[in-house]
Amino acid sequence: MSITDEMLMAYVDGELSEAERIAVDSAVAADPALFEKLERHRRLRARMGGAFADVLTEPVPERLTAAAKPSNVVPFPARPRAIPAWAAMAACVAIGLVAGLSVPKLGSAPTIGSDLRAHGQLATALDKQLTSAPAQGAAVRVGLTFRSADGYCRTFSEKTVAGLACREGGGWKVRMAVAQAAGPTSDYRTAASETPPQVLEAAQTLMVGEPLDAKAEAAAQAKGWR
Amino acid sequence: MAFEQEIVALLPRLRRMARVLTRDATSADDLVQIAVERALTRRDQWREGTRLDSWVMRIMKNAWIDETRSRARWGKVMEGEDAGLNVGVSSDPADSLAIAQAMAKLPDEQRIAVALVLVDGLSYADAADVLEIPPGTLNSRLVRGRMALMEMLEQ
Repeated sequence: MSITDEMLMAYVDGELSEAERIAVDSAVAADPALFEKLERHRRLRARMGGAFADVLTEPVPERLTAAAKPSNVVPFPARPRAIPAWAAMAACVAIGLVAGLSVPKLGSAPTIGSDLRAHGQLATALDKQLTSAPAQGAAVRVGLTFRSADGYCRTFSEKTVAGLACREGGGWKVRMAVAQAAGPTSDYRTAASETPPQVLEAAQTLMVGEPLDAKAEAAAQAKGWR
Repeated sequence: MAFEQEIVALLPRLRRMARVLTRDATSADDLVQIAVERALTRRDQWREGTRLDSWVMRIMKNAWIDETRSRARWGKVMEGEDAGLNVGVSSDPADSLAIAQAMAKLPDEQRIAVALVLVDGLSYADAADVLEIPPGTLNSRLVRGRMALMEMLEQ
């Protein structure tokens, strides 16, 4: 499938369906030029969000708060300048994400063991989930499947973390994981739905050939990922 | 939350949006004030259960279009070089200025589409709803606006 700029934009805006997103992920992972294109779109989105962000924390002029309360005969006493609750929440989320960045076992600790082997839900998802049958409502979602020089690898994401795991010694070893960042400009759409660039980049580095299509993926799973 | 309180809570977002659309902070706050006043006079037109933020944004969009038309009539069209008075103190003032100037050069309809999605963070469906245009129209304005911005900003 040829990937248009429109699709890449929709990708960074979180507007693609699961199937479309996977299609973009596969194409991008296999094509460095397309990856760079995607990065341009991502950068523009981030820059646009950043350029006007400070307006949100400026004190709101009295005349505007007054305009919103025509019924108040008695003017309100000047309120301490308030950072809106949702902005404060966004900040907390951001801090949580940054704090999590350097820690390999994030959030739901049982998913990644200290030896970085996948356990629990993550291991199950990596073993069982197929692109052809995305698990509805599963906490962990598997994205791309591909072959590295040493065996199969799969990208995954859950609410707060995304990464890449490869088959090793009969299990899955998490090769890298990053915190899932919320889009910089969305105030209330906090769930990140795209695969972080670091993960795609890592996939690109490890990948031999093209990502597996649904059929090859199902066949690999049937053989126990060997 | 009472209607008025919800409007007050929306003020920071409305101000940010207005900054993207107008040439300086004062005009931006003027636009917000007009929108807020209209929203209050027409509060009976807002349907409970629908999104108040989209409704107020739409009122502000219409006020901006009115304003833009009257400005065009008087021949005082915003020049790209004048833009940038609208950006506040920013973590990266040079970048903010460059972006404001590039945005000012976009046709109005592309500028507001880009602003709703990339600055305000609305979904495509919500942005199309605010602009009262079909999703396909929003999409093509977004694509053209963003390609033009990248062209200008990546030189």
